[in-house]
Amino acid sequence: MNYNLEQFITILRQIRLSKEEDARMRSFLLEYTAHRPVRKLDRSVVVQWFAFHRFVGYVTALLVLAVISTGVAYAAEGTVPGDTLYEIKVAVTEPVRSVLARTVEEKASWEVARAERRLAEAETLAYEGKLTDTYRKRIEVQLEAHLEGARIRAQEREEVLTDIEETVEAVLEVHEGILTSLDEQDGDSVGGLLALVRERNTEHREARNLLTQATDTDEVVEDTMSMAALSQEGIGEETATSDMVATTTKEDLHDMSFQLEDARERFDAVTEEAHRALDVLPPSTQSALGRLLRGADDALNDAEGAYTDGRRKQFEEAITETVRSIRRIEAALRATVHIRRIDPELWPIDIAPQRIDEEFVSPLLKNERDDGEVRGEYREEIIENNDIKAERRLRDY
Amino acid sequence: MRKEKTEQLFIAAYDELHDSVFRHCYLRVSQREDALDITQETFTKVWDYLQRGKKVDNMKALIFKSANNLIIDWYRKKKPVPLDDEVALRLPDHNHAPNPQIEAEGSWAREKLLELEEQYRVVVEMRLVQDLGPKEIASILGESENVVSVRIHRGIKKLQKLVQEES
Repeated sequence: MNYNLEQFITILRQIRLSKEEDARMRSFLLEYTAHRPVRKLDRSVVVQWFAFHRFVGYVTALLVLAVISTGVAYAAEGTVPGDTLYEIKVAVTEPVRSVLARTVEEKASWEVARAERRLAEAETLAYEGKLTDTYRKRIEVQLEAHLEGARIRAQEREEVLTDIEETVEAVLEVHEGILTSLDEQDGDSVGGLLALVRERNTEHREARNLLTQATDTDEVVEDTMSMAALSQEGIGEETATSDMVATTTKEDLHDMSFQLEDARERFDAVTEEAHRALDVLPPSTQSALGRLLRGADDALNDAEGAYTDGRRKQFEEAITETVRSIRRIEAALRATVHIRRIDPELWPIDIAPQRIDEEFVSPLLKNERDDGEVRGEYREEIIENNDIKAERRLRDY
Repeated sequence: MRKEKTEQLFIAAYDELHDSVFRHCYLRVSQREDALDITQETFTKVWDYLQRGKKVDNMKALIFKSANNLIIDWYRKKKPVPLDDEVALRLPDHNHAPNPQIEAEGSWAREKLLELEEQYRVVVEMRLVQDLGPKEIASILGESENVVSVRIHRGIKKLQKLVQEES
């Protein structure tokens, strides 16, 4: 007889209670529950119901979110200091989202997003000539609090910390560019904020340079991407021997191809978005974005090369770098949303709120869908196999 | 009203999961009668818990966790009998066999599964046969999700090898 894993599982799944056993146990349990009724009544019923129908729970949460975001909170989203609904945005909507964020990464990313929002508000006000000293100082304080908050939250997990710091750096770079061009147009209303962003940016750059020197003593590297490429080569050489010894299995390759596919899709999406945004970015941001895109492209090529040669370790380095670069591009692109808002002539203004919502909601949807799809497909396959194989088995017999 | 709801939920859970729980127990203890007892006790334990008005975040995980604890207790009580009692495994269960061939294959498959080391067997069975997610398995076993994922991955590989060797 010829067996594969699915058949094996199908056979095991046929272990079940007989009808009599089921009936006996069921009536026993019914009696048992009647003898020992629920003592204390509390919310547990609702909780259980949601546990049972987890998916329903998610859907309800999303619906509630949708209702909220189409109501007052939605109207508050695009506000700036001085608007009536601004306080709702800062004191209600944003803290609620902080609570909703579950993982360390989500929490830290949301703090970064809040910092980005403060910068965008300042930029919008400055563009309209309404950025008073009071508003500017308030935004400065909040900005620092959010950046600090992001750092503190991210510190809980090292890999998140690196990601968040890179995102923050990209954000600061982009907004330094925007603020500088606003500053040139508009006198000194953004002056204090620009100085703050510059200072933070310099700190980040210095920290990174220190790190670069520590890992790469004899090489003075100015560009992050070339630094990353170099360190990849270094790692590649070191591990070349161990890579050769360790065989890359079929499953490894399968896994790698998935990761590669994923990274490629993200890269394509981000490239398309970037090309659409390039026209409206200030020159300094344009070149930063171009550099990031090239870096991501290089890293992706490295990953493809390592995949073809079956060098697992090198592949992982390269794929991490690719994802990292893509994150930075995404951060830079988020800033362009605000530019669209500031300058309606350059970009239709109605695009902006929709993008913000997608940015928040789609990761939630994506998680649920990914899981469901994979498991659903797998189940279908099993059921299908079940029928065909049961028939075949009977025939063989 | 609410009281009834809790009962309905509990019975619904039983209707949905009794085969899975029984299968889980049977694959671990290899004796039909014992597996039946453990299954029934699992549900009474879960009801005792619900009856005290406690909150339940994930019913499926709670049920499997209880089943697991009872299986561990069963092992402790049964110490003198070797865990992979081959004689017990091969004993055909004519009373309950719906089809002799399926039953024969069932015991063959159980034997194969028993060839897998304990730590892999448990997670592989929960993942593939019971369709539990790595997160749920992790909470049932009290391990980290990462550890469970790694074990599932390795366990499936090993099992594949075992199954293929046979064919």
